[in-house]
Amino acid sequence: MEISFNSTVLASMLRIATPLTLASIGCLLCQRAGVVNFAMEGFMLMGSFVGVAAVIFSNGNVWVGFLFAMLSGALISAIFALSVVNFKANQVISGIAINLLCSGATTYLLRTIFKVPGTIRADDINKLETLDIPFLDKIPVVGEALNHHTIITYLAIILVMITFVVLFKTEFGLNIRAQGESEDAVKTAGINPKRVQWNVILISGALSGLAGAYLSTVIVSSFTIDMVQGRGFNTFTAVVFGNAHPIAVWLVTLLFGYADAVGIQIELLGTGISPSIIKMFPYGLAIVALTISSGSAMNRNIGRPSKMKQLVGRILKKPVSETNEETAK
Amino acid sequence: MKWYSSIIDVCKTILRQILLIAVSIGLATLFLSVSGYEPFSILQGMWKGVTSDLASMVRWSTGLILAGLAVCVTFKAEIWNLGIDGQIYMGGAAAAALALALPEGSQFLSVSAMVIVGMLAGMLYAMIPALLKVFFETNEVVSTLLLNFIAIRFVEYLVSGPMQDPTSITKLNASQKLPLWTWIPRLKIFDPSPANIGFYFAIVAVIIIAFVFYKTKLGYEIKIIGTNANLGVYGGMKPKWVTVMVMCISGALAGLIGVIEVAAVQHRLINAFNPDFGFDGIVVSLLANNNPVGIILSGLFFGNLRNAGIAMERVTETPSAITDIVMAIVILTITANFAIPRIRNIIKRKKMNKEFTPNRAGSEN
Repeated sequence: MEISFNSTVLASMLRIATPLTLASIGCLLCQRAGVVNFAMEGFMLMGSFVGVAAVIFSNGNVWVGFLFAMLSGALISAIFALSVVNFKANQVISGIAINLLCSGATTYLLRTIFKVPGTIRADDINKLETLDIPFLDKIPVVGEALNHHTIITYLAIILVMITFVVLFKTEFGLNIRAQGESEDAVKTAGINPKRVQWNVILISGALSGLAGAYLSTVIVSSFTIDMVQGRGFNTFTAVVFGNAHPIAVWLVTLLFGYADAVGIQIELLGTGISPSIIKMFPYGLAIVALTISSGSAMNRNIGRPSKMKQLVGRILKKPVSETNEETAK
Repeated sequence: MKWYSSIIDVCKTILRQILLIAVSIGLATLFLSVSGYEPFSILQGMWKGVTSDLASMVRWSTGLILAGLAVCVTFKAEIWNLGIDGQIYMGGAAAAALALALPEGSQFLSVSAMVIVGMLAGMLYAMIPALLKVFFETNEVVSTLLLNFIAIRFVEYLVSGPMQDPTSITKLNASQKLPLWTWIPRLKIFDPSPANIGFYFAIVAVIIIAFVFYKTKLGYEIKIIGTNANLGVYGGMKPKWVTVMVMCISGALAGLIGVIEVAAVQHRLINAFNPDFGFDGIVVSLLANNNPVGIILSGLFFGNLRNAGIAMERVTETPSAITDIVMAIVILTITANFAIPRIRNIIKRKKMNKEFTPNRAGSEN
């Protein structure tokens, strides 16, 4: 237990979960609006490349990196939106195409602009400073872990809260939710459904771009080919597991971050377990999470109890429907 | 309906796909010229591939045709197997493990055993998402994708731990070289290249899959359930059974790719030995319109494109990643069905406007 629960692990959990949290906000909005967003892997990859490139060209200004990463993410997501919303293309296949496009494009641009094959380092980067928030230290147990993070980490948490308010308390959020439930209802209300979907996809692109830039400029200071390593898919799983509810999804991303953080800790301690095996852990966790929450995986089923929940419910108590069937017989 | 209408249909489809390819390559050529490379290097590379480097084209097409088939089987049944890469890794790893354990013997027997074991390994790995889907309705799109990463890590673990070559001084992430009698024979006419008899396996697989699709009960069930699952259930079919069968076939084909890559091309288990055949398989299958016979053509085309990219990088320093961009554009144009229906609609609307100029409010929606 010593290894798995101390302030170092909790702090690195928050740090690692930040990109997942940022990306998951966009993804859950998409999910709510009836867009299955598989392209986040690509958005993040593009963001991480453009982030590093912009930092290098602006002599180490991280904020320029973030800005351009968000722009590039939005730009790529515009292609996705065009094919998914306007041309009604299959969402999953379009997502895969965008991932392939971004993987190819970043490799191509890396070769073309920087003339290097695999990795580009941003040497003179002004790393984001960690904030020192005095009152956080006074919280027992977790205070130490909560303090001393970069502003992006806090921004991600604030964004989760904002998303919660926007999604459930504003008209904009209502439109998004209505779009996922019934496109006809949205049309009847005189709102352009395409605009609703375009909005969420662009938001998702920008946030994923920021998440990618966080990966490449805050966590490390370099871009490596295919450095996102399935984080986009993990984010999607988090959204499914959290049933597209902002707070729940945020907690799930923290869980994934925790799995990663514990893995790193175990690796550092040198327990003899191969690092490759430890790195499987977050993916395995994601599959388990997906299985538990499955049945509500696609947007049209939001709110429906999952298959696993149904099974557990059946074991714990006899649901009404089953007794009805028996009496009918 | 006249007898030649189906032939005309096929020709139309082929023409349309060629148009799509032309658009994609045109865009890629544009990228190349904007970024200051030799703009026509892709086309040159592909021409060279057809005229003088058939061997490499066959080497790449083998995997692509099999991957295209693996994707096509699942697409027909409206199931998504995006974990082909993972299944390739598992098939390759199993075959390599067997090859290192086999006693010296006849090449035919050991290769057959490896092929069977590799296909079984791929099949078993594909069973995980299939069974999760059948029992818990787990979304197979995400679970197969995530299983890819686990398989990659697993092979990484094998080649850096239990199966690492003990005699190697440099501690490369690779296994021992497989013994000679477990190699899948290469094609004699293409001597120095790694083109191998796996290509024949691929062709046989195409024939078998085409037979299954068009002549068996399973094929019929796949077709019906893929188009309308409710209709299938009404007709007494079992979608869950079809899901499992389809994933089995798909995983077995993927495992076969792994065996070929390990036993014929690399001759050892290497970390990340699979050059992303799985995702390229999606393009191959989409371009062929999920038609097993068309997959041979589109597999050959993309094999040539792949080879052209690599050859290009060697000669002119144009990054081979441009082929990924071409593939992505091909997928986008096929799924989004960008140009053709749009143009047709515009023409139709113009005609309509000419014929009934009043009543415009009704035709808009």
